[in-house]
Amino acid sequence: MVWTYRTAVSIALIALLFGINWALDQYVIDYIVRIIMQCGINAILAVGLNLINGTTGQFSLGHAGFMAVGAYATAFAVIHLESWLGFNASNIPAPWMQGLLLSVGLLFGALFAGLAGLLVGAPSLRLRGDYLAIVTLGFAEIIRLIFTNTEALGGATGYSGGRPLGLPVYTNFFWVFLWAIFLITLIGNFTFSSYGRALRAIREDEIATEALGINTTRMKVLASVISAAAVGVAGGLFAHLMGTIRPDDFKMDRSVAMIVMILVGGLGSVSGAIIGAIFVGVTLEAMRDIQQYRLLAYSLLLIGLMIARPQGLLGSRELRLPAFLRRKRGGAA
Amino acid sequence: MTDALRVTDLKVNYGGIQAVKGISLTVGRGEIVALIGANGAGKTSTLKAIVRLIASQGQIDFFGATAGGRATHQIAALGVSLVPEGRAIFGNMSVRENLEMGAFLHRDALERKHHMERVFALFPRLAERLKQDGNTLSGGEQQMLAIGRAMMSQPKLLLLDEPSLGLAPKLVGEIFAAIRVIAADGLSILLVEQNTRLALKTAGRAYVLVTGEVALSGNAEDLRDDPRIQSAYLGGDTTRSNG
Ligand SMILES: Nc1ncnc2c1ncn2[C@@H]1O[C@H](COP(=O)(O)OP(=O)(O)O)[C@@H](O)[C@H]1O
Ligand SMILES: [Mg+2]
Repeated sequence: MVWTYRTAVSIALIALLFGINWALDQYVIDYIVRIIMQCGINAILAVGLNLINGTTGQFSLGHAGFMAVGAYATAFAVIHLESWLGFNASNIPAPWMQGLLLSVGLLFGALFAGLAGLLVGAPSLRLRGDYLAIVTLGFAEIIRLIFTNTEALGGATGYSGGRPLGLPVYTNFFWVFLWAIFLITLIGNFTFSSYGRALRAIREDEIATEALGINTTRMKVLASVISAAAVGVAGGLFAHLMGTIRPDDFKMDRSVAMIVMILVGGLGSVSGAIIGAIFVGVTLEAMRDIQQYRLLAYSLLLIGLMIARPQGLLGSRELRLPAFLRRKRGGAA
Repeated sequence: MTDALRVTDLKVNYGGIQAVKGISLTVGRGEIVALIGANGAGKTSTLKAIVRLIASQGQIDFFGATAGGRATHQIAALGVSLVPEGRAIFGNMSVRENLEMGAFLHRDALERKHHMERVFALFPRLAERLKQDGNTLSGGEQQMLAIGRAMMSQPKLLLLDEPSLGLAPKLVGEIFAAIRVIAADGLSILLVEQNTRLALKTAGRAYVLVTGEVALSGNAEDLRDDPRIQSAYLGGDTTRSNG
């Protein structure tokens, strides 16, 4: 019964996304659609980051690095998959094939970003607080330098798969939101499982958690891997939305933007992260003309937030789904 | 039968300073053993070393199995549960979630429910506050929660670090009554206390720790009558706060 219900919801959802995608294509200007897609990508970034920074309480300042790994890995996979399958400028894949190529690429993005999460997390999650922030910040810089100095990936000018028109733009509303809903559901269920409870316990008191028989290091690394993989998918969607990716797309201000999202929404709240993601997506667009002041604007915003509502919009609470969607979500406990 | 806990020649160093200087002690099965001593004597360091939260030298065995090479969470899996000093409850999680965390290693829902009911029988106040966040509880209730959470892990050996710390006498009485009930069920308990009078009334045997060494040990009753204990530990007001 649970499965048929879930299948029905999934099919309805896909149909709905498909319909909205079509309607946006027909009736809404590209500029707006683009902002909506950016908000969806931001939601993945925020919910991914929130798992480690909010739920587990391990402050990473380097998630732009995982986003970069995901972006490059996805783009690299899509480009090579295409030439392997014989697609080129005169043999463009059909729309459904584009989405499929993108999704396979995103799996690679998730895999490599997740591996990076493991590599960074395993040694550094033994560190606490400020040290962890500094190590993750350093990691993101190293990743950026590696991409800057790897000519095969375009070096400082960026990666476009050796194509004059850049990376194929396969990211559209449908795929952004299909992946966003999938990842947010996954991370949401994880957060509210007994594993998620253990992550929150680590945030509250790590020693007491360990003394209750929980391998806290392993739990933190697991959270880091899931978080990095999700952010990597967002990076891949970003790459195939922009059409080109440069190492400088993944500087510290990108990490800061993600942190602002989860602070605005409320650390530790999944729904808060989504609200914060939309907020930042829209304000970022509004600040397009004053880009150089972005960090300053975020600082002011954070200071204001700390004064007016230090716990963020939702605190650590959740907005709940309407009852008909909550029904029979069995197995999540 | 092997002892619940056997510690041999345990040493703990912090940098150059030796806080525990080669102590040995045992806790038999079903026994309450007290480890008493003044502030800074090395009691907490001993407990932390026993569950390997800090590095140490010496031999530690639980129910005949060596602790060597095991991490803290693996020691918990042997049936050893530490109730840390200062309680260390999960403040932003509900009482229920705190208790469920204790049962992380025990997935059977029915068994879990059964153990939670036993905790409620010990501490009825917890049942009334299930949905409240841990940090909204009073100090005494937090101590009850910390012990209850440890009991949810179904331990065979319970290590209690100053359960009376900073609590009003009435609550201390309630908590020690529960400790006796727990022991009567067959659990082995190592009770760390600064409240010497209370510890010697509760335990069968005791070790007195002075600057990292066992200065005295023996039957709790004998120790109570020992003039050295009387003058050093039982002379003053034993209900004084140990803040
Ligand atoms: N993390 C630490 N670093 C350095 N010295 C410590 C540390 N923890 C405890 N000590 C010192 O070790 C000694 C024993 O402390 P502790 O085990 O906490 O004693 P007790 O629990 O009996 O009050 C004290 O002198 C204390 O200052
Ligand atoms: Mg102590």
